[in-house]
Amino acid sequence: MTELVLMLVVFAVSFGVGYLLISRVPPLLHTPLMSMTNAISAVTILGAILLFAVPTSLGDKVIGALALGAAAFNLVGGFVITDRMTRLFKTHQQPGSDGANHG
Amino acid sequence: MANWISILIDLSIIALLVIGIAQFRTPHGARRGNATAATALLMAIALVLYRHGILDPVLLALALLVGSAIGALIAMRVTMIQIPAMVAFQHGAGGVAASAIAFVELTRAGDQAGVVGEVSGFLGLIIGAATFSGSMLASAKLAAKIRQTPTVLPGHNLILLVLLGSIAGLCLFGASISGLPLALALGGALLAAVLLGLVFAVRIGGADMPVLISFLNATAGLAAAFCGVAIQNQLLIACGATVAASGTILTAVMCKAMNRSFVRVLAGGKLAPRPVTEKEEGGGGAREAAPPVPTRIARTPAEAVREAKAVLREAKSVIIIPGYGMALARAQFQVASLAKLLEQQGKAVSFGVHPVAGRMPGHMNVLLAEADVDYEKLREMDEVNKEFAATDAVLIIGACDVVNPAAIRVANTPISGMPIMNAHEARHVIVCNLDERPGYSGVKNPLYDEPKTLLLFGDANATVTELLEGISAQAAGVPSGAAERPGLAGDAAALLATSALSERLLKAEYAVRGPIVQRAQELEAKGEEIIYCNIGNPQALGQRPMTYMRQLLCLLEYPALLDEPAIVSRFPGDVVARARLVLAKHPHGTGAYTQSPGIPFIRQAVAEFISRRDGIPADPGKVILTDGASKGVQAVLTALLRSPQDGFMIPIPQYPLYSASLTLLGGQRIGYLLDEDNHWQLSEQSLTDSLSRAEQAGIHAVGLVVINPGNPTGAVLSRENIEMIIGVAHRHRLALIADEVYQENVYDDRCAFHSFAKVLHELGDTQTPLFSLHSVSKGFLGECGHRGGYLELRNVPAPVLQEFIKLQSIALCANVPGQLATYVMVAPPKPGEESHAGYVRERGAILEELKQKAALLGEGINRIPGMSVHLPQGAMYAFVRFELPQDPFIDLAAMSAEERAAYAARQEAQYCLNLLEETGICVVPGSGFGQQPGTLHFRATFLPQRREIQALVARLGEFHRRYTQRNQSSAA
Repeated sequence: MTELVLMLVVFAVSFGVGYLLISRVPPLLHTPLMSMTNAISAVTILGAILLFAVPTSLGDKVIGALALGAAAFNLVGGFVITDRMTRLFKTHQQPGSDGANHG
Repeated sequence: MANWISILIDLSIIALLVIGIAQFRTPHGARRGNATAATALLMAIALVLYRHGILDPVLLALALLVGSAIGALIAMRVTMIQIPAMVAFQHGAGGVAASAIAFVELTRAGDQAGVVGEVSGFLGLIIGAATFSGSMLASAKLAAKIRQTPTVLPGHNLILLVLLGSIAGLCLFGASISGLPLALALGGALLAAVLLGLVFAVRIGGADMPVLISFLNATAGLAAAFCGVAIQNQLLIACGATVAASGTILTAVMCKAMNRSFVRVLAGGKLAPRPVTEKEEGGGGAREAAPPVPTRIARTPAEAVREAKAVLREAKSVIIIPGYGMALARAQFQVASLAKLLEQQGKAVSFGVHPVAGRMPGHMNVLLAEADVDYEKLREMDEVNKEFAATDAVLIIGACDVVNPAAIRVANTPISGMPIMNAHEARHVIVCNLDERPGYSGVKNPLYDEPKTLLLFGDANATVTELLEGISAQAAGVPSGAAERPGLAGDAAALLATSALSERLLKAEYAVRGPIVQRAQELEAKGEEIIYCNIGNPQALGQRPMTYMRQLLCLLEYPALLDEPAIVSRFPGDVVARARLVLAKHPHGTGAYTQSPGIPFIRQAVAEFISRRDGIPADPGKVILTDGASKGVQAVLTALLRSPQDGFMIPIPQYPLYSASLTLLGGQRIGYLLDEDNHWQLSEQSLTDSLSRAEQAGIHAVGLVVINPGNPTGAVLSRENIEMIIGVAHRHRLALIADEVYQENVYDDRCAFHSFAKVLHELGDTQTPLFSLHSVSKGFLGECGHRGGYLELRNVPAPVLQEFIKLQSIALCANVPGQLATYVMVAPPKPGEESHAGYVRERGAILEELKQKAALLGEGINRIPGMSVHLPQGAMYAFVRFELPQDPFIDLAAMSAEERAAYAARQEAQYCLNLLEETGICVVPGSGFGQQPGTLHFRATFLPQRREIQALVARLGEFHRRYTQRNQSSAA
């Protein structure tokens, strides 16, 4: 029960934080946002890897490999595309609020 | 590993992710944020691999490598236009992963899993599978592999319910079993979920794709989250929830921007009228008190383009509104160039991007960024909408619904209440859409009817290119800001705007050296290799001038050479003798004016030439030497056009000198079709048909133009054909213009050249006036640059002849080197003279080469599927007919004849422009010559070197294949 509650809390908090952060993303960047969140959703790769950490049948292994491949495709592809797209945006003027972000 | 270190690492991974997303507020930050998030996930992967012993490392590594490699490869090669389809596809992959993991987890747990595990597992399985199929369908629609229109099945909702029910049932059943039956039950539920996704997505139309993709983004996140619950992995839950939040936000933004409720979109089908609620009526804010009564101003396409160029030149502020049509036309690069140019000219330029422009939220921005547009110029709708009222010009590219004022003026339409870009508030509106068809909503756009709106329909890429040319051509030399400072510079620019020039000049079109050729020269200046097949300019393409001609001209231009024995001995004896003869007859030399109709002994030589050739008497007094045959043509037209209703019959297709000259001189054009299926011969029916049409239109035909051998067709008329033509001219009391400049270029052994003069004489016709033209530009001489030719008049009384000579005298005389070249043409070396053998050999070689090149080009083109040409019997051209796949969106039957012709012209122009840009081959679109309605042509010369022709044919075939494939896939 406590586990369920914990997971619900994690879900709710993540949803909330995500909502807050992402509603600040300007429409200019909506497309790369979608491809990046797509890549993030490929976090399922962790679940796929974990399948290989326990004894499973051959059939399960095959399915697991499929899941792993698909997730890897999603992960790598998503981040690469997002990188390509964000590189395209250039400006010759002084950018507005870039100074606020330090990474 | 110590527990607290483990927790710390987990927290730092989550922190990195949060930071990564938080950085996504500016483009620069977004790039960093992306890298940060990627790092976080890679850390998570490394951690998992470290913490857990992998039982099958080889298989794992393999799957990982293959998936990553394919993902990376495709991601690096996908084009920005393909992004929506790609992102949808990736959602699908995500769905597969979540679904597969859930499947394995459920089967492993069997009936041992708790309720939480079961429920979350099922949800992960189902949502993942439905996301997969829905995304694949969406991807296919976005890639235009399937049609965009929504498909509503009969009993659609019922089917959905049945599927949902069976899924629920199978899951409930599976909750209490294990082993093979469980696997089967789950497999069944999976399949049903896949079907569910398909059925769900298939009824969502193309323009609602932004909502669907955003929704699938959210479901992909949900699937991951539920997977996380099933395997009790907090990171999956957290990430999944975040992604779901993102998808939810984007979905809401899209629905709001389209003013359609989410449920409405999912219900799919055709857009239903949306009643405007009380709230919107009262406080909508964007409703206008009294919209203006639109009265569209009728303009021809050419006028609209001219006005648009003028508007852009004078505007101080421009807002560009791009739409999906711009992406389809691949016009973003030209649009970006235009924006840059306008900015350089000192105007304020920005782009107004409607949130729903494109097939994916924010897609337009990416396309424009790719075209190198400063992202600070990409303004959001709410921000830029306030500025339209103060803006001079709005340029709409491939957008309709997003600028449709009906959304705020008219109730009960599918777009009522949808926020739009207020383009209608600007001073001038320029629309560059393909055609007048409404957007996805089907609602007519009243903006098109407003007087201030200029409609430039057609391929946006071609239109914008035209605008670019118009503005850059005018801008050269005019400093920016000159319009603001009163003074000399400003005044000069205003005085000579094209609006002050002769209407006839502005209307005249000459395609042989039109915009495509100009573009070719631009590319050549940049270092591109261009094969010019646009103009019959033999010596520019490697043909050598005839030795005799140049030797004689050389001595005549610098007679002092004749006094130097050392030099004289370098020339053949007969050349020297001829030079002395000419100088004796015309002692003034090449620098002095001659008699207006030309040097007398040359006119004599022309008459003798005609006699020899045709065996008929010829009068030197009726020969006028002209600056090339073109001037002779213009002289005849000038003389014979008396009233504005007078017109000349000209062939379709024809060398555009005639159409352009008639326009310039204010005469009417009466086109008669040449019969392509009958080797381009003239038919009596065609001639009389065009005459009666002219009569009905109140046009009085005064003359008939025949080009033999034909340009651009290459057809050599049979004697019977010529007799028929003379008969028609005689009956209808028409004058005949016989353009015979290609008489030496006859390749087909079955054909022979018959001069109109000869046939006229042999028929005994003494009534029909005949004007025959010949020139040194073609044949085997190719002396285009020397501008030499003659006009021979028959059946023309003396007073009329005098008028012609008077006309000629206004320009004093034809240029002397040209007259001399004409002399050599009509009086070549005779048998027995020293140069004769060489002359005959050179002539034979050139003509034989042309003949072979004609066959080479003709046969090569006929082998290309989708192209055909009649093997040129003569002249220097192939008038190639080509076919393009039918665009399903274009309804030719609904167009008027003019619209169809304009559409064909646009298709040809785009084709030839692309051909030039992709292969360097420069040809002339068939619309420049005129053609049978419903056909597409271009004219190519076969003058380039032989090996160039082979390369040309190969490249042409490749291009045509690519072009037709491209157009087939984008026409959906």
